[in-house]
Amino acid sequence: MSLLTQILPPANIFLDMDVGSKKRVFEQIGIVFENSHGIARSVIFDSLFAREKLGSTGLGQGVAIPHGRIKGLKDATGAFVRLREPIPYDAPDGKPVNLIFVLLVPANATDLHLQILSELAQLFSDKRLREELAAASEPAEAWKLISLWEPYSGEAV
Amino acid sequence: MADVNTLALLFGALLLTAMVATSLTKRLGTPLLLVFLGVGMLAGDSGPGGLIFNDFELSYTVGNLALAVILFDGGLRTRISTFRVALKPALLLATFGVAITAGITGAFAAWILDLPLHLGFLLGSIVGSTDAAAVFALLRNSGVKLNERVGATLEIESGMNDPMAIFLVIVLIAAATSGSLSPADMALEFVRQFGIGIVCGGAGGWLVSRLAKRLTLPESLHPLLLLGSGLALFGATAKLGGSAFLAVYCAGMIIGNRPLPAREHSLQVLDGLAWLAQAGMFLLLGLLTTPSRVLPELPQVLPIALFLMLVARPLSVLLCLPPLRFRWRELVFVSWVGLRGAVPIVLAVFPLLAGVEHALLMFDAALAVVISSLLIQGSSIAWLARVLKVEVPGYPDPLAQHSLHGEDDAHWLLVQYRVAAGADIVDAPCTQLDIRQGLAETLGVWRQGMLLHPESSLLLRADDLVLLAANEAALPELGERFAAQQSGKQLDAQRFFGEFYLHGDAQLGDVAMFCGCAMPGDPDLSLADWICATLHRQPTVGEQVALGGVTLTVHEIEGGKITSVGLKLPG
Repeated sequence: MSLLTQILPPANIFLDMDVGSKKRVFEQIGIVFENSHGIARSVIFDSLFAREKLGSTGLGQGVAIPHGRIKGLKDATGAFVRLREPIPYDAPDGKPVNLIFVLLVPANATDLHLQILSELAQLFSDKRLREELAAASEPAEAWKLISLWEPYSGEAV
Repeated sequence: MADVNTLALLFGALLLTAMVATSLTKRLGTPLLLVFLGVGMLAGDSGPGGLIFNDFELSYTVGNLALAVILFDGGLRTRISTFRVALKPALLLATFGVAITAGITGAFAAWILDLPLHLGFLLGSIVGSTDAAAVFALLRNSGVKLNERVGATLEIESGMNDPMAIFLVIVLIAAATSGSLSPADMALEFVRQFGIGIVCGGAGGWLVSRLAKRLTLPESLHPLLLLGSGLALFGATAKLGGSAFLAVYCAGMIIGNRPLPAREHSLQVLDGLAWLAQAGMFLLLGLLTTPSRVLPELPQVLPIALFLMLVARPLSVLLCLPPLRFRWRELVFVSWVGLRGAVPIVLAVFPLLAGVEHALLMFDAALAVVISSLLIQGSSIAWLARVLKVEVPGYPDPLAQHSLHGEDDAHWLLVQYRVAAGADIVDAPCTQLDIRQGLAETLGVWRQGMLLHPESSLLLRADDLVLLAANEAALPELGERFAAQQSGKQLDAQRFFGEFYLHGDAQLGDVAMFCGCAMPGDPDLSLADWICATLHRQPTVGEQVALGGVTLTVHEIEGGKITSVGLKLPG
């Protein structure tokens, strides 16, 4: 069982979200966690945005992993968003982004969240997984793909 | 010259053989220069060719001219922007480094060959200078790109240390033939040669650069203008009593770093000429050597070569560079890449012509040093660069690259790329290049010889030929987009720099907060300044600093300031 299963609630999968900018994605995410964790949406929005200001969290190949530290959050949690239309994200390869995994960690977290980020980066470097996620028609299917993902050898690109 | 035809046949056949051999060595990875040497030896008196050639006078003339062309070409290619990290170490290595190497090697050679000390020093000076042309040809073939500090240091060193070695040889020959020379005389001679050399080179380079801009010439004649002015400058400086080699190198550097009409074409032609000069020298050397004479001397001269590689060069690097805070890996690499090339061969002819005692023995010793250096060091450079991690991710060059005609500033280039199968850009609209740095615009796409208009509806396919207008800043990214993913030859950028990139002006406090690590310094410091302060030296692309669990790698530098930093996650 990977770290990812523990942090991604099945309800936090959003397929074909129809937003046109990074800012709007973060606003939507803020609302999601405000409802589920009772944390003000502005706190989440500000934290994610502060991180983007240091440098884009885009990984390339249409993937981004925005992440933030949230005061008052007990455990790391996440959400997966697939966008209807790719948005500009200033990613290292210049490509617009349509697969977004938002990671929120407690303010006092150790470097466990670095492990999670690293695992996410590995997961999304798998071309087959990216294609399957892009084709998934049900949130449950996408959740399964992410939760059950195991690194295979030699297929990363 | 009774028989011009024989001469033409011989020279042509040699050149032709060399060309065929070149295309073969590219696949074999053996240093090309050894092939020329071999061809020369086979054609010479001990080989099947049976040519008897021992005209040292002619070799001296050809060698000097060849060296002038090589150094001029080297100067044209040297970028003044690399001086920021490389000038100081290169200058130290080129002056003190050469003197130290020559001294230590000389003492050892005098002892093992049972020569008087001053002749030992003469031999040490002959083999004292390094050759970067050979190094860079080798590295280019193996797809390794060195980090800027190491690469530029080696390159500038090899351009600047030749005049020093030549100076030492001339002075020591004068001392050997006309009795002793006082240190004061030597110092005065040094100042005179280098002073006149630098002044002539600087002024000459500036004049030539102005002249090239003024004259309206067809493109094909521009390289000849450069070649002619380079050679004239060489001769004039020597007549004035300055170091002609230093002068052509400096002039080349000034011309190459100023706007130059027909730049690409001129550089390509001069590159070919420098190549011919180098090949010609090694061919001549092969012809001059008599293996049957050298073989019995091997037990004596081989230790000199090994001593130079394993003791003298590392020692001189260790004495010159540590104050500049090179990393130990870089020190080891620079020590090992003290490749000896064409210069010792030319210099070894000097004592023969001057009639110095034991000159033939010194010639053979220099030969042994050059051959073993090319064989042993030459074949291990690419491997060592990988092991010592002094390489940085490179990018494929465009197939062709031209500057705009008649434009002074070389900002815009016309570049051509072939779309590789599996490249990033396959299936993307040809107008959507997604370049982050610099400017690029598609001008045309050729598919199976047909010109297609660059409209946004045109999707690129593998094997398309694309013509773009781009500036230099865009070339790294363009190279990556058009090349096949993970071509294997180049270091993978993500594995090297990490998953994310941070801005150089991000505040250290914020970065440390997001990394979840203890504050390593003043939180208000910018990331760029903190990295510089941690490194204690001018940063180069590829340098790494640990921050908590993550590794930060310098990714981009503009105008001496770090602008982008790679962040690599643990595990």
